[in-house]
Amino acid sequence: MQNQVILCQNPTEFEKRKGLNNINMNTKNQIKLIKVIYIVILLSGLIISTFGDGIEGFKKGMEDANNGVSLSFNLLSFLQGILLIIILFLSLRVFLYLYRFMDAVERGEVFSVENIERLTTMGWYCVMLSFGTFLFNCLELTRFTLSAIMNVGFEFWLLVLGITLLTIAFVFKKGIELKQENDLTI
Amino acid sequence: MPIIINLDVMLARRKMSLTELSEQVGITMSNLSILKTGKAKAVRLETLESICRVLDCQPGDILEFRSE
Repeated sequence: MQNQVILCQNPTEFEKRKGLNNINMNTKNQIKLIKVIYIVILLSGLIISTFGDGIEGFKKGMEDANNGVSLSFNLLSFLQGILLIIILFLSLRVFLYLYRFMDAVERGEVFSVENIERLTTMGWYCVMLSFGTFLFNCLELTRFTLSAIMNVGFEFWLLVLGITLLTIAFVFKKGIELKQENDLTI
Repeated sequence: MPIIINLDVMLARRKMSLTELSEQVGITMSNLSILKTGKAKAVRLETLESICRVLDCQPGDILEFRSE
């Protein structure tokens, strides 16, 4: 696009195309900036949680070992551990798909089948994560009563985000259908 | 698809190639190819008008309906 030779008879047409190229460059730069901010936030969050919570957990483990706290198998803790791994895996997948989505948009591929699949997958993952985190929080309860479960926090924003992503995927699918129809209109 | 495009027939009658038709009508070869192979979803009236003018025929000579 940048190396394209533009032959225009009308000077105003040339200015219009130049303006369009500028808009495309601005959009590309904006997407690049968003990607950079996204990576910075992700990395800083990862570093903070790894060094912050990781070191704290390690210290607690060392203290327990020094105090002679015996390690006994706790089924609920084991399930929590498994659930944590699943939540972590799904979260990483969502971040990866989001990055790939931004990459595709930067390349100019907006309404594509791959983007629809990414959005749909991200949507379902976010819905699963909302219920997964709720289950994780429930497993921390000492007593499983209805009132206690009702007091456990539910990440509604994750559920809403998931449903929103699924809606956007549906909109993109309709967009592709319209685009194909337009492309096949002679 | 029930609507058949008989462009080949008209091109043969007028002894014209697809390339010549695309140049005279002002549509790209790829679009004409889509039309000829029956993959087109819709045809604009102005496109149909241009094709009929160049091929000196009626829309009915190019478009045919066959029930499935």
